[in-house]
This record gives sequence, C-alpha cells and structure tokens, in this order.
Amino acid sequence: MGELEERKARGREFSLARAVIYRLLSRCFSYPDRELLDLFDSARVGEYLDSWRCLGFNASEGIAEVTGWLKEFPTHQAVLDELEKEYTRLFVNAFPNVPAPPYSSVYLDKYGRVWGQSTAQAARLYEAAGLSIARDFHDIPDHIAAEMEFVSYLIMEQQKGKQDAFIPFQELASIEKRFLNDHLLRWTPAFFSQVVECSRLTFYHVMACLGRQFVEEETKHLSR
Amino acid sequence: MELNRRDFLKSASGVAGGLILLPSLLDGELKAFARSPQSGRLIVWEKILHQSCAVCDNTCGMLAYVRDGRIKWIEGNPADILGGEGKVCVKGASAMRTLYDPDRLKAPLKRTNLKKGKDEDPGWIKISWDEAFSTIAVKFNEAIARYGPQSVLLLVRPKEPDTRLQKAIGTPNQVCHVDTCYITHEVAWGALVSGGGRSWTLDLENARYILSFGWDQPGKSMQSHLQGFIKAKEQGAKVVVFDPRMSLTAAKADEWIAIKPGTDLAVILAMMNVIISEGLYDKNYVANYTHGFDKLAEHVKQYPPEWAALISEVPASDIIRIAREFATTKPAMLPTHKRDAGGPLYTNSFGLAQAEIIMSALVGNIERPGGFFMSRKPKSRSVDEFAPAKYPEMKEKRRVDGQDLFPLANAQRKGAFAHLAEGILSGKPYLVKVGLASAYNVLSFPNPDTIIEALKALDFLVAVDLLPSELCQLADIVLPDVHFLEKDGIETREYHAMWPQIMLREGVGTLWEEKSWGSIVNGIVEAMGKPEFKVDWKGLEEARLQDAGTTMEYLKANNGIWEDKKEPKGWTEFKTPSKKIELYSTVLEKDGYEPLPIWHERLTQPTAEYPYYILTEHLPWRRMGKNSNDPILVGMLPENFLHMHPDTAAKIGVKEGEYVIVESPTGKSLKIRAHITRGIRRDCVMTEHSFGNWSKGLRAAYGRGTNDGELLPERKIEDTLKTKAYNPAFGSYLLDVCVNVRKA
Repeated sequence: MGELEERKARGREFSLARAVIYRLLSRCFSYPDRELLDLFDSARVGEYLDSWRCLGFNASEGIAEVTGWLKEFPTHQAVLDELEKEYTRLFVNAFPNVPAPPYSSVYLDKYGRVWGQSTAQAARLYEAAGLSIARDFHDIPDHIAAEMEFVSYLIMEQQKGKQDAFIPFQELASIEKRFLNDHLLRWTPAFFSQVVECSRLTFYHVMACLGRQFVEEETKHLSR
Repeated sequence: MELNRRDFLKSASGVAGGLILLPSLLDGELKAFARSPQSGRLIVWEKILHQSCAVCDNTCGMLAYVRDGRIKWIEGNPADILGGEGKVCVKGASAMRTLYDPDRLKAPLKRTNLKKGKDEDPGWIKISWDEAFSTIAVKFNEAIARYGPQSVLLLVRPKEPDTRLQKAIGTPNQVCHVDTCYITHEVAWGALVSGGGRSWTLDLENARYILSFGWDQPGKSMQSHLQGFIKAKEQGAKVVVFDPRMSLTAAKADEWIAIKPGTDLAVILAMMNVIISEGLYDKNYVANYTHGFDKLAEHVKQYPPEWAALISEVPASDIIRIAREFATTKPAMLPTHKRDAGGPLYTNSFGLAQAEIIMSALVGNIERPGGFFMSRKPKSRSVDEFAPAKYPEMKEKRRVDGQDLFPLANAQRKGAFAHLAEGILSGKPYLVKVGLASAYNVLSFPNPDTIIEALKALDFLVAVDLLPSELCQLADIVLPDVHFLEKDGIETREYHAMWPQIMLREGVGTLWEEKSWGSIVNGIVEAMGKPEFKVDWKGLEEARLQDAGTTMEYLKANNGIWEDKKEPKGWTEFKTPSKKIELYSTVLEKDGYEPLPIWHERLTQPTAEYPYYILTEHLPWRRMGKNSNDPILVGMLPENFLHMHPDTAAKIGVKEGEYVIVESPTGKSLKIRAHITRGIRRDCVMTEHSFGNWSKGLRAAYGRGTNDGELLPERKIEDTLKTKAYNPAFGSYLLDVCVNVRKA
C-alpha cells in the first residue's frame, strides 16, 4: 500500500470511529430500551471500544464500570426501570426540576426556552443535508439524540462513493463543520457537565463523562 | 437568571433609534417590506397564525408570527374588535415563553415513589398514553365498583369535556374554584335576571358614569374591560371607585374613596335609599322591567346615609352626592366582574352582588347601552345534541363539598373549593377514593395544607396540566395538556360578546406527546369501557360552524373571525318567574333566602390579636399556572410585598423593604417584605397573589415570594350554614379574616 492509500485508510478509519461514537452517544441519551442494553452486551462492547481507542481514548475503564453496574441487576427489566426513571428525571420531567434539558437552545439562547434560534439553526442544517425530523420522533429537532445521530449520518454519507451521494460530499463536509463549530460543540460540554453533576446513576454519569471528553477532543481536533 | 423590567420592555417594544433628524427621503415608508399591523414592526415571518388567547378568559384575537417553525412574536388581531380593539396584554404577548418552557410536561408520567408530600420526589417515569389510560380506568372502575360513582372526585371546570366525563362516570362531585371567584355574582344574576349565569358583557364604552365597588378589571389589563374603560374616559365619563386600597382603576379615577372592607353593602343600600326617596330612579324602566319596587322602597328606608357612614367610614354627604350623580348621569354603570367586593370575599358579599344588580336596574342599565348585556352567542348545538348518549343515573345527589345544601348554588353545578377538604377528610357524607384534577393547583385553595392532606388521603390521583405544579407532585399519574398555541380549532366568544363571534385557532402543532383535554377525556372513557361517551370534538366544532352558518374556510379567508355584527337589542323580558328583573326576588324567597338584600356585618372584625384586614391583589401580568414559570414575567416582580400605610408601618416599626411576619388565625405565618404606600387604609394590609410556589419543577417560580392563601382559612359546613339565609351562593368568604403583622 502506498503512503497516500495508507493515509486515506487511516482517515477513513478515524472518521468511522467518530461516527460510531456519535451514534453510541445518540443511543445512550435516547429514552432507554432493550436495544440500549444490547449495546452493552460483552460481544458488542469491543466494537466501540476499538473506536474509542482509534480516537486516542482509553474508554475501557469507563465502559467496564457501566457493564459491571448493569450486571448488578437481576433482570433486564430491573435495570430498565432504573434507567427510565433516571432518564425521565434528568431529561423529561422531574422534581425538583429537569436538571439537564437535552436541548441546545436551553444552553445557547437567551431565556433558556426550547425551540430557540439555535433549534432553527440545527433544523436548517438538517434540511441542507436533505433530512427532516421523523413523524414519530415526538420531540424537538435539537434534542441531543437527534443532533448526535445527525453528525454520525453526515460522516457516514461522506464515506459513500460519489455516485451514491444524495448531496455532494464537499457540501456535507461543510455542513458537518458548520454544525459542529457553530452549534453542537458550543452546548454539549455544558450539557454533559450538567449530567455528570446531577446524575444519580453510574450509567449516565460515566457516559456523560465520556461524552464530555469526546466533544472536548472534537473541539481540539476541529481547530487543528 | 435575573431579568428585569427593562429586559422585558426591550424585548416587547422593538422600537429602535433616538431622535436623529433624517433627510426627508430616508424618512419615507419602505415600499418593498411589510410591517406587522399592530406594532408596525418590520419582521420576517414564514406564516401568521390566527389564535385566540387562552391565558385569561377574555379570549383576545391574536396573530402569532412564525419564523423557523417557531412563534417569534404575538400581537393582537385588529379584526377582533370585541376582545379588545385588536390589542393583547402582556400575558398574551408573552404566551410563547410558556409554550416553549423546557419544564413543560411532555409525556404521561407515573409516580414510582409511593410516599406523597411537599418534600417527596415523586420519582416520575415516562409511560405511554395507553398505559396511562388503562391505569386510570382500572383505578376509577375499582372505586366505582366498591364505593359507587360518587367516590370519584373531578377537580375540573364546568366546561364541555369536563361535564361529559362527570356525566359518563355519574359522580356529583365536579368541583371548581368559583366559590373563591365569582359564584355570588353568578347566583345573584341567575335569581334576579337571567335564570342562569351572570352578564359577562359590559358596555363600558358608552357609559358616562362608572361606579366601582372594588371592580379593577382595567388594572388586570383585561382588554375588553380596559379598552372600554379607556374609551369611556376619553369621552368624558366620570369614574368613582370605592376600594380600601388604591387599585390601578382607582388611580385612574376621578375619585377614590377608601371604604372599610366588607361594608360596601351598607353604602349601596344607603344610595338606594337616596335614589328612591328623591325619586331619581328611572321610572319608566322600573315600571316596565322590574318587579317588587314598592317592597324595595319600603325596605331601604331603614338604611339612611348617616347610618351607612358610621359603618363604612364614608361621609354621608359623599354617599348622597354620588348616589345623585349616579342616578342622574346617563348611562351610569356599576361594573362588576369576579373577585371584586361583590365577589365571594365576605359573608355579606352575596347581598352586595344582589344590591349591585338592583342599583343597575334602578338606573335602567341592564340590557341597555352603556350597561350590562347577557352574552350574544351564535346558534350552536350542545354536546348532547351532537353526540347523544345514555348517561348512568346519578343516584347520589349529595356532594362531598356540601354544595347540595345550597340548592341555588348547586344549580350552577360548580362546586366549592373552600369546603372540599373537610368533606374528603371527614369521609362525610361518603368516602371519596380517587380523583382527577385538570389545570388546578393546590395553591389556588385557601389554606393549601388541608387540601394537600385531603388529596394525599385519596387512593389515586390524576393531574392534567401544562407545567409540573404542586398538585402534579402529589399525583399518581400526570398527563401533559396541550398549550393553546399548539391547538387547532375554534373559540366562541363568551366575554364581551356584544354580538355572536367565532374565532379561528391555528396551532403550531404539539412539541412533544401532549394531548388536548377533549382527547384525554375520550381516552379515559374508552379505557373505562364506556366508548359510547367519546365525542368527536373536531366534528362538533365543524357542526357548530354549520349551525352559525359559516365554515373553516370562511374563517381562514376573513382574518380568522366570523361575526354576526349587530348592536344587541336589549331584552324586554327577563328569565325570572315574573319575566322582570326581580328587585324583590321570588326565586330567593321560594328557597328560603332573604328576598331583599339585608345588611349583615361581615364575619370577622379586627381584634387586639389580629388587628388588620387582609386584602389581596392579582397582578395584571400573572395568571397562575398559565404563566407562572415565565422568566421575564416573574422578573417583573420576583417576590410579593405586604403593602401598608406609613402610619401602620410606623406602628409596627418597619421600614420600606424590611421583613415582617404576617400571622393568621389559620395558625400559619408568612415572612414577607413591607412596601409602604399611602394608597391603602391604615387598618388594612395587602399582598399580591400567585406567589410562593414550592414545586421546584418550576425553575423560574420556585421559592419566589409567599402564598397569601396560607393566611386564608378553609371553611367548615357547620359555620357556613349559619350564614345560609344571606349566602345562597355558598361563597367561600375568602377574605373574611383578619391578621396580625409584626416586625421580623
């Protein structure tokens, strides 16, 4: 393999690793279900541990903490009950209040409402990439799960062959850059910090720690 | 985040620039760019949605400007002349900040912590609508099977889906807040004039003399009253306000008379004495349209102005002068609305509500220009006509709040907050086991701690709301309601309906998984195995448009408004047994009540222990749960104050802004800052309502100020029965209490 091919392959591997982590974080900060638990099956864990490694992280300790914690529960239902309760409390509705609303506008816009200027910014970039929010999503476009999924989609689309591309990859690359720089990376560090601080469950605590580390690394990577 | 009034004004006005002299060419109007009709603001929008405001009941027509899929700006719909001349108040213009509140209830929630209380985290878990409905159905059906349908308590308004649910279940216990709000006016109007409810249509604009007993609607910025009031003032109307404190209306009046609280009835009886003895009443109107004048004339002889002056501390000469002015300036109006002096504030308030109607009839201004009109509504079929269903027979007629002991009040089917806790906690007349509350909070009750205990005593409680309120915190299932800006549909005008009017609602769509109250009721009855009580609410709206002779398309093409615009023709016959306005009420007499308003002292007077009357005020920009978590509105007055006269402050030894302790016979005390003002009597203190949220779910509102309701006692049936002869409305005599104030 020539040097150029090697660099290309490394670049591709790096991009795919980023896409995996964005997708993983999207799943972890969606409403918990069986599919989420399956992700932490010992067979699946290796898949994204490699991705973390490729990005220069050692996430194995954190992920081991999560899988260890999950094993403490006698049944899947028992762990889901806990996760659902904590997800509802952290992100949906809670008493004393929702400590970490999972929407960009709450962190970026004046008065901290939902459907703010920054929500519109996200929605415009989804549209530019040829996407719109699914009817059964029942949530606001700048929800953390949608935004993380969006980046992983952008990365994957750029990896497709030219003839398969719905939108030219140069355009997708520019959308990705704008979305990350002007939007996602501006609010997610604060969001993950909120979760780290307020979570009562190992799962959300660890995943938010990893998430925060990841978006900080992304910020550094993009400024290079 | 602290926000202040300036932030708000900046965001609300959008007016730019200073006083720079421009070349005339640049001074001209832009040709290519549009301006919004009301504010003249240059804004970019994708579409304009028609709406009808639902923050208060005035239902002002609105235009909601949408940009990037989101409501950016709200202003009045200029085509809605009735609602308020195409203007909206600060509550309406702010409505999108509650729509987009990150603390909005988003999905059905189930409680996982079975312990309930002020400091208990309910441990909510998001569930599906199916699970929510089936859980409710199982609990309700179980209670009905074991304890009967009367064991289901519905804390809901007497609106259509609410009543459908109540009838489908067959419980007598549909309970709403009007015993703390306007039940006295409602029952008095029903008995003396309408056979039903009160007049909600005030032709203030054409009045030339406005006499208020605590009526302060302009101060609540309710547009139909406010705009009418402004027009009347512009056209030279004289305004006289009797109020123990200087309300906003009093501040704009020609005269403010600081009457002793709860003595308005004495003054008005003396005014009738003057008007009748001097022959100043409208002889034609009285002869043709009223019943029982002679008995009234004889009755008020015992109430001369000098007598009223001793009771009310209003000089007899003022009573005489104002009575003469009121009777000789035409048209003269005595506006009332809800919680003014004739509202259910004191044990003698019903007598005042009754006397206010009689005074209005004496000067001939009921169903006449410059006076009260009953609302003119379009022809419209009822829910039962649209979706007939065989309701279960309601075998148990007794009510948990005791309202059945007061038949005239019970005919209104609205229930009584103030007496509810006693019924639930005592298990009398029977056990109430499960409940559902829609858009009500425990903070709306006098002495909230007792209603909290009562609701905790239920086996199962459902709450439907916009935001996680204190009542939601006590519920087993919480259901998210839609915000009105999310809703499509129509709204038929009830307030200030000088002629029939229907307004269009165009929503932005639901943000999360909320459902409208009508769909929630459908979901519950279906899950309970009673699908025959479901109503196609959309279909009903279509049918009603047909009844009125219009269509959705017409509304869309005509500024969102259909109206049958014609000046109302005044009634010549009234809905009473005599077909006249009954100055001497045969309806009251038949049910054993006093047929003419008789002077009774209010229940409580200042004592050495509790030397001050307590008054409360509703701020024009607050509307309880409808906007209590709006950071800008909360920022306009982050906490409430205790208003007191400088002499009172000196006596207590307190300076502006210092803390005082207010103590009430409820055993509760509040720590609150003093505000010193000459706009209040020396024997009164006043505080603003709608503060003191303890639900930390409300980010902006939590822990701000204190709740005046803590000072106000709940009521016991036994006590209220003592006032029965003159309190047929079963009012809560909410402010009939005195307090002590000391330095903190």
